[in-house]
Formats: sequence, structure tokens, C-alpha cells
Amino acid sequence: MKKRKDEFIATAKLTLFFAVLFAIGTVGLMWFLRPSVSEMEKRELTKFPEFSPSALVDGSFCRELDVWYADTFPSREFFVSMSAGMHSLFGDRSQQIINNGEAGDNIPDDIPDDIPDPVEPSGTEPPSPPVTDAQGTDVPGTDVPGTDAAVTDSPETEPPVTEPPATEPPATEPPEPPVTDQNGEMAGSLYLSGNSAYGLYYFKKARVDVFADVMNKTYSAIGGRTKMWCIVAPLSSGVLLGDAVIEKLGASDQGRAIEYAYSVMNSGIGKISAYDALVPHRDEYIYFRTDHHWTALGAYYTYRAFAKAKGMTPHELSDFETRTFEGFLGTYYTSSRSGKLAATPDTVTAYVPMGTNSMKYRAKDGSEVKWNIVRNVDSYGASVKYSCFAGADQSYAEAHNPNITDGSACIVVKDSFGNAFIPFLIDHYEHVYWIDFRYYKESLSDLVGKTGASDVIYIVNIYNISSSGNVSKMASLVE
Amino acid sequence: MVFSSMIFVFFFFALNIAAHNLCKSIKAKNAVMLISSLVFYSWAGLGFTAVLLTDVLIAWAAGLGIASSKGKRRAVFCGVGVALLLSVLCFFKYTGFFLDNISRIFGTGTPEFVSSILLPIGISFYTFQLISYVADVYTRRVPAQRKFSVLLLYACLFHQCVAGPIVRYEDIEHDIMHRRVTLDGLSRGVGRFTVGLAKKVVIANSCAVIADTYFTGDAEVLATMPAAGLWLSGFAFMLQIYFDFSAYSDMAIGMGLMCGFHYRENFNYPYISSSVTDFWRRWHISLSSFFRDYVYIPLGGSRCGRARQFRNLLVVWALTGFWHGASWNYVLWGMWYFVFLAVEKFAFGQERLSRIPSFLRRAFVLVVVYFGWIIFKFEDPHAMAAVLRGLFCGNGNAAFAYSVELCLRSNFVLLIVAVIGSTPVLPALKKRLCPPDSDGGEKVGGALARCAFMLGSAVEVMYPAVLLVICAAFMTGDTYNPFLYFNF
Repeated sequence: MKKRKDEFIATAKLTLFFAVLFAIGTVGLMWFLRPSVSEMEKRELTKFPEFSPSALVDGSFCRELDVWYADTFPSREFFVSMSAGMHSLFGDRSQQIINNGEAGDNIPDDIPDDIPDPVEPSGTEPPSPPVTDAQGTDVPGTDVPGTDAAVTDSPETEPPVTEPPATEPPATEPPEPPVTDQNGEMAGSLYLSGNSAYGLYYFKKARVDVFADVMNKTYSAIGGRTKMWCIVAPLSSGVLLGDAVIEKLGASDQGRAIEYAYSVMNSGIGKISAYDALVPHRDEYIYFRTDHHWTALGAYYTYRAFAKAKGMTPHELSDFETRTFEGFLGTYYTSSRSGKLAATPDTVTAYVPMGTNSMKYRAKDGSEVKWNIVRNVDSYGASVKYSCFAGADQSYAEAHNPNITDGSACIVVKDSFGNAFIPFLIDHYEHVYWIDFRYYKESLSDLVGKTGASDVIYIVNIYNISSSGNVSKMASLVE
Repeated sequence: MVFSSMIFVFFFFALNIAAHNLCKSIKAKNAVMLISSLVFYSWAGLGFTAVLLTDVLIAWAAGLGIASSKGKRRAVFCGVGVALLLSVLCFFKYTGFFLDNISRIFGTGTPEFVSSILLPIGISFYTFQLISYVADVYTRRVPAQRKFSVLLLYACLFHQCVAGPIVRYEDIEHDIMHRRVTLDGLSRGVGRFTVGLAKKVVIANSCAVIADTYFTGDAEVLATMPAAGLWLSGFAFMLQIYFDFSAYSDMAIGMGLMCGFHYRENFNYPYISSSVTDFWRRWHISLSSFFRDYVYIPLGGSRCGRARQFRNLLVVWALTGFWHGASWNYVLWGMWYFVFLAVEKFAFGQERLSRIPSFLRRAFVLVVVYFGWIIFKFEDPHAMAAVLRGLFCGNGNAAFAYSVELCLRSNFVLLIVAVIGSTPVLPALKKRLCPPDSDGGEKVGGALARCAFMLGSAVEVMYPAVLLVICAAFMTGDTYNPFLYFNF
């Protein structure tokens, strides 16, 4: 009797096990179900490896086959989400740090306590105050990359702000922007608290010195012909968490780090303290909770600080028509796959420039693509809603405001933080040009010469001033 | 290909087990296993397969030479065979190490060709298996195998070829030619395999994340890590390495059972050991028994004077350390254990040792093992020194950081499960709740016992399938998921 029971249990166990094994195995053979792009991770999935006898001999073919098989497994996102759910059982994850890493440097003590108000270059270098040390890491991350595959025209005329996506982009436009990029700007440790995530910043003096040096060289190259501005955007952690939490987490004080960076830059460069502009508004929705970018509102307050420094009158928010895109789950969600973030996605609000919503950008193949400065991204995936701004991360783009005819021009040299900032500049210049330093391969000096721009505005997030790879790309613009 | 990969579990293994168990004759089953194993091994590169074939050829020829000879010629064949096998191992594994050290001493550069020498996967394991075969033929423990294909199957069986356990030929000689797949074997094998897979992809890999949180960067970076973080990472690494390696053995044993092979146990809850000697009877048993049988005892073992015993122990532990990797930290790791084993053996002796309270002995072993893993972890001596100092705030590093508290809080369930899993608590509980001779509550115990039996049966039926799905979720997206012991 006992033996029969044991046999029954063993048979049932084996039947169930092999049913699952062969079912998943069979699904794995259905190549037509295999995804090619992961929207969640903003990347193209691994391609089937190319066969060659030498690749077989050295094992690289089979290694790549391993990666391809797992990376493109049907229902991959289901399994990945399930895995994230299981990880949440590992402990109390209401607060956690992901990718806690190397220690940061002490921020030099000789920075002034109060950095002078950013004004047109005065010729004096700001001195510098003391700050604490921290920890940090420099892990390449993800970013919302460009949309170069979409190479057809969108209407030159203003698209209606509330129109559905079917009428805005041409019929051949892909529904989602392509998502491959290794030049991300999200890196380092992530602090999760409740339904919000914060990227932590760790000051690296040597790298920041190199960044400042690159800014100074850029100033030497173009400063005689144009006014150069520098805006270093802090991350949400620096603005929203408060000094006590930042210190507790062992991260660096971003306000002090930016002050230090500015203190070693040429006094001829106009420095805008986005940090000071944002801190008074920390209770507002100035940063996404699930993404490393600031919101358009955060960019707006920085724009106001820039306008003040430049002596322009900033427009009020109420002057702009707004668009909102619900259900945004950005890079912090992608990194953490936190269920709490997933349950409370962000909303992207964009402010449509008054003068024009038309722009064009240069695609990878060199062709020109007409686009919208604020793009309807309703049909885009949850993780790429930030792509609504300024054509996302194109290497080169431009917009021309027909309402302004004074020949004024500016060039914005930016990473993706600049995308939400650019729409506010459109109504101040006849010509606005923007380049993404991570992808633009030509000379900035030549561009200044060609466009006759009176202002060159660098806008980079604080990760990138400590990223040796991206700083060297900035350097190559004036080499 | 690693066991904890989607392509292995859901393609290679599924195909192999189906083909093997559909074949009727042992010849066909062996053909399936041989082809599968060669494909599995060649996955890492065909060049590596050539090395494997060469080694098997050496052992096969040596075995035949020994069997067909008498007197001193037998010893010559054995000696030449073992020497050739060790030469191949040394060339691939230690050439770089020796030349690098020579170049440091004499200030000469390391020759360029060294960087092109790649370590064939599993060479340390299959070399030892073949050495044991040659030695066993010499000592007449086993007859020489006349069929090259059978010896090749023994050496390259994908269950244990690349990461152990180090299987003796005598243990599976019978299974190779006469194995039977039974319902009980399949059932136990499936359970063992899935538990091993879960130990690797769920526990070991997750502990690795905690370990890497503070064990990261170079010496300069490590010196800044908070002491509490270093202790936590050390603890997590201790769990990681046990679950990683024992998982591989579990999977090998499980797959073996599913095909009718019976491999010996390789781990026996080493972290409950009551002495360092006991630890090495429980950790990587197949390796320590190899060194015992093929090095320690031939050198005279314990049946000689204290000085020679001491020497024998020193040789064994220098070799054990060196076997784990071509770097001085592994030698140091071997010496670390040599010191404690020698103290236990010569200064205390079993009797005096047993007078120390058990919990003190066990705690002491854990401390020794903990620091042993730190030596093992860092090949860079500066990094190792930074961590050892940092554990006691010797780098001027902070004692604590909030991030450590968060890391602990967000992983405490995992760590508790891992600690419980590294002890025999669960098997003991299972034995108590569902004794093997249980009648299912039919005769004694009444409703409660029947309920417990039903629940136990349901768990028994479902857990392999459930674990398999969970592991699929963990493996998906983990595009590179190597086992630690692949380097050895």
C-alpha cells in the first residue's frame, strides 16, 4: 500500500515536472514569438549570432547563442516581472539602495558658501565652501535614445496640440522609438523609498576637474564669438531628499559639488545654479519618481533662472498650452523593477512653445526628419514617454520661430535633461539649434560660425560631469 | 553552457533526458550521453575538446599499458601517464602564473604567448578524474577500460565534467554498462536537480549581489567601505559560495539519478562542522578524498612520524590551495587551513578537542571559514589587505553606514532562508513530519496525521515544477550567469 502511494506520488511529480519542462522548452523553440526589443529596458535584444567556423571553434558562437536564447525568450517580460516580484519577498524593500558602490571623494573645502547669482560674465571666479564626502559608482546605465528610425516627415505646420497620434505622425512612423543606446547618463546607486526612486550622486574630484577643464577649453575656443552658459542639473535626490538623508545615505551633496565645478570654471562662462532654482520648489512635481529626469516643471524653473541671468523676461507657465501623457515608468523603474513604482506611474506634462511646435532633426543616415518639439507620445511605450521633448536624443536638431525675426540664435549642447528645457527657449530666439554631445561628431566652433549663435548653452546633468566617457565626448566637440 | 542557463535547462537537458530515456539499449543510451557530453563540452570551443580528448587518450593508453605489463613497467606506465596528465594541466593552468612570477623576480617581461593560453573548462576536474583512473588501474582497484569511448564518456559526462564532483571511475564503472532508470531514481533526481537549480539561481546569485555591494572596486575603493558593509558582504559571500558550488553538485547528482548514474555526495552541511577537520570532511568531499587517497596516503599518511605527517599535511594543503587557482591567494588559503588542521591534529588531538563545548567549536570553525573565504575571494593582495583591515575600521573607514542597514533590511528574508538552507534543519523537519516508514496516517495518528501526509504529498508532487518555473523567471534576463567553480 505504502509502495503504491509512493509510486503514485512519484509519477504525479514526474508528470508535472516534465510537463512544465517540455512546455517551456517548446515555447522556447517558437522563434516567431521571440521579441526583438525590450521596451522595459530600452534596448534591442540580442540578435541571433552569425555563424562562422572560427566562431564555432573559439566558442563565441555558442556563447552568443546562450545569450540570445535567454535574452529573447518568449514571454520574457512576464518572467522578468515575476522575478522582480519574487525579489520583493527577500526582505523589507520599502527602502533600499540598488547598486551601492564605490566611495566618492571629498568635495574641496575652498568653495564659497554663497555662489554669486548667475549673471552675465563678470570676470571673477567664485570661491568655494566645505562639504562632506560620499560614496559612488560609475555604472553605465540607460537613457532614452533617439528616434532615428523614424525618417519621414511630420507636418511643417503646427500640429494641433490635442490631436491623436494617428494624425500627428505620418503613417509610416513606427509606434515606438528605437531603444538602443550605450551612452546612458543614468548610473550609480539608486535609493528606493516608498513609491519614489532617487539616483544618488557621488562626487569624483578628478573627473569634475576634467569636466571644468573641458568647459574652459570650450570657452577659449568659442568664447570670443559667443556667450557661453553652463547649467549642471542636479538629480532628484540632491534636491528632494534633504541634506540629512543624503548624508545618511553616504551620497555627495550635489549643491556643493556643482558649486565646486563652477568654481574651477572660467569666470567668463555664465553659470546657472539649477540647484538653487529648484530647491525652493522641492514640494512641487519637479522630478519624476520613476525616472532620472526632471519634469518640464523642473526644467521651467531652471529656465527662469537662466532668463534672469540673461536679462530676458521669462514666460509664465500659463502662457503655454500643455499636454499630458499618463503612465510613464522611466529608468528608475527599469533598473529596480519595483512593484511600488509600477503601481504609481508618473505623468509627463509638456509645455508647447508658442511660436512653433515644428523642428527637424538629422537622422543617423544623414537625412532630415521633420518632427514636433512637443510630440504626442500617447501611443509610445510606458518607458519612453520622456521622448516627447525636442525629438529625444538626436545628434543634431533645429527649430525656427516665425514669430521672431531678429536673427537671434542659440545653440544648446545637452544630454537628455536638455530636452525638457529646449521648448522654453523657442520663444526667445528666432533660431534654436541643439546638439547632443554624446552623438554629435562635428565641430562646435564650426556650428557657431555657421549659425552665428549669440549663446551657447551647455545643459548637462550631474552624472555626466563625473562621467569620463561623456566628458571626453564634450571635449571632442572643440578638438 | 552552464547549468543555470535557459538554453541548458529548457533545450539541452530536456532533449538529453528525453532521448536518453527513450533509448532501450545501454549502447544507445551511452551513445546519447557521449554525443550530448561532447556537444556540451564543445559549447565552450572546439579547441578545448581537443585537450579533453588528448587527456583521455593519455589515460586510456596508460591504463592499457599498465594492464598489459608486469613489475616495474606498470609503475613506469602509471608514472608517465600521471606526469603527462599533470603536464597538460600545468601548461594550461599554471604557465602564466609561473612565468609571471619569474618575470617579477628577474625583472623580465612576461612572454606574449602567455595571454593566448586559455584555460580549458573543467580541466582541473577531469584531469583529477583521469589521474584517479590511472592510479586505480595501477593499484588494481579497477580493470583497465579497453574501449576508448567508455573512458571518454566517464571523463566527459556533462553532469560532472566541468565543475565536479570528481567522480571515481570505480564509482560509475558499473553504471556506465549496467545502469537502469527507475521511477524512484527519476523522482529523486528531479527533486535534487530543481533544488540545486533554485539554490544557484535564487539564493547564490542573490547572495552574490549582496556580497558585491561592498566587495567591489580596487583596494583604494575597498578601503573606504564601511566595516559593517564588509562584514555583511563577507557573510553573503560565505553563503554564496556554498550555495553556488553545492548547487552544482546537487544538479549533477540529480541529473545522474535521472539517467541511472549514482555519484557520491560532495557536500554535507559544512557550516555546521564541529572542527576544521570536520569542515573538510563535509566541504567538496570528492576533492579532499582525492588528495587523501592519491597524495596524503601514498606519502605515508598518518602512519609515520610526526615530522613526516606534518610534511604530508603541508604538501596536501599547498596543493589543495594551488588547485583552486593559479594565484598566491589560493596558496595562502590552503596554508590558512593547514595551520588550523595542524593545530587540531598535533596540538589538540580529537580527544582534547571534543572537551571544548560544541557551540564554541562550531563558532570557531565559522570564524576560520569566514576569513578563509576572504583570502579566497581576493587575488589582489592589496585588496585583500584593505578588506581585512577594513573589517576592523583599520582603513579609517566608517564602522557603519545607513546603506548597510537598508541592504540588510531589504534582504533579511533571503539571508535567513540561506542560513537555514545551509543547515540540515529542513531535512530533519521533513523526516520528523513525514517519516520514511509513515503509513500515511492510515493506521495511527488519525485525521491530523492524514492531513499532514496529504499536505506533504502535495508539496512533494508540486515542488519541482514550481521551482522550475521560479528558476525560469530568475534565469530569464540573466544573460551571463557563470558558476564560480568554472575557473578551477
